[in-house]
Amino acid sequence: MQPAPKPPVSPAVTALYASSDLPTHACDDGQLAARVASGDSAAAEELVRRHQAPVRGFLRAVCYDRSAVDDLAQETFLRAIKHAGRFDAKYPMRGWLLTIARRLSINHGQKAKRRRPAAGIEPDQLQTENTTGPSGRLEKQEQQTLAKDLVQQAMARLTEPQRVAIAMHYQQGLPLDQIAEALEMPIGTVKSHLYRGRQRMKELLEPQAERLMP
Amino acid sequence: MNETNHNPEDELAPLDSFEQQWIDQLAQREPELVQSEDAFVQSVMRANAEAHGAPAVLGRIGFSVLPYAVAAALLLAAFVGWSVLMQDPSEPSTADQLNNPTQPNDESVVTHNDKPKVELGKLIARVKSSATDPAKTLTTAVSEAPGALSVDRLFEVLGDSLPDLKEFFAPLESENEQSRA
Repeated sequence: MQPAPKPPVSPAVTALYASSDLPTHACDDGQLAARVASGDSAAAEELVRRHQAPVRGFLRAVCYDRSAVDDLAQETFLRAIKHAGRFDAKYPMRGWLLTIARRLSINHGQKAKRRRPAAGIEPDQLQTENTTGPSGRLEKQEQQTLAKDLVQQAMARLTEPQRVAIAMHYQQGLPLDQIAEALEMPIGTVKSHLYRGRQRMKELLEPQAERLMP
Repeated sequence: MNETNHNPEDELAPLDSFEQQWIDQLAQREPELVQSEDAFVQSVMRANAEAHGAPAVLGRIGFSVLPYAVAAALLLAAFVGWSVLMQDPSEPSTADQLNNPTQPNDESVVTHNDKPKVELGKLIARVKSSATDPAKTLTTAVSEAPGALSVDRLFEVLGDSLPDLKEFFAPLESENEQSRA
């Protein structure tokens, strides 16, 4: 049984949130957003601190250019702070932030493609580096790094909606209806992207199963 | 549900052990991200202060200064309006309008306001001395003037002179009639 939807938050309630004397760490995301919108920099810092890990993790999963991840994450939060008044507390803050991050990632990908039109990704070959330690065996840390790198490479070979749907659902734990809203598509289409994305990941990663599983 | 239309993509199958493996890798927080949390938060706050700090301060100042700024602007507008109204409104230059009616008035040609009147005086003198047909002489003289002025246009511009000219023409016309008779 699905929980009953929360009633819309009126401006009066938002104003009450903003004037609340609660310490920022005790505020929920709606209260935090209202305080940020009123220019409370401590609330803005709490918002960044609270959500930076999922936003940066999400961008790591969906963005080709790993060097741009923190810049995109920073821009995501700057926009969220600037437009905090538009946040609808009926929905989770994480979904809102990931939607902003996704748009920035798409824009960044398009700009990068224009700059380097010839750059492409090999269809099925995941590149692995032989990073054996002095003992000739992969150290645990190196093994984990390699496994993560393989997953990142495989993710980069999915279509953008498949990649984002998988990151939002399996990495960030967002429910399907929120993903559908964030991606502006029906739930059935989200399921389809998840299904095909999983199939594609299996095709790409199964030949590397030994490296993936320590 | 209609079994024949069932799409396997409609219902997501549970993750198998292999899928769970790579999804765990995906969801695992990277140590470098964890280590740089504070630095990231501070960099966002610095960028936010740089992006919005100055306008925010200006905004706060603006709110307190705004009523005074509006009052000063209104006073200035009132003073400018008053000084414009107090200026002696100069008539458009007749000479300028005759030569180029679309050209705006200019102080440099105001001193030539009486020039057409002087020219008109000369024309009248020539007409007066003409014994045969003064009206025709005037029309010809005006049409030959620079800018090919018409008599009507001249009367229109020099409206104040019109009664005098009519008074002037009346005896001339009567003299002509008498001479023809």
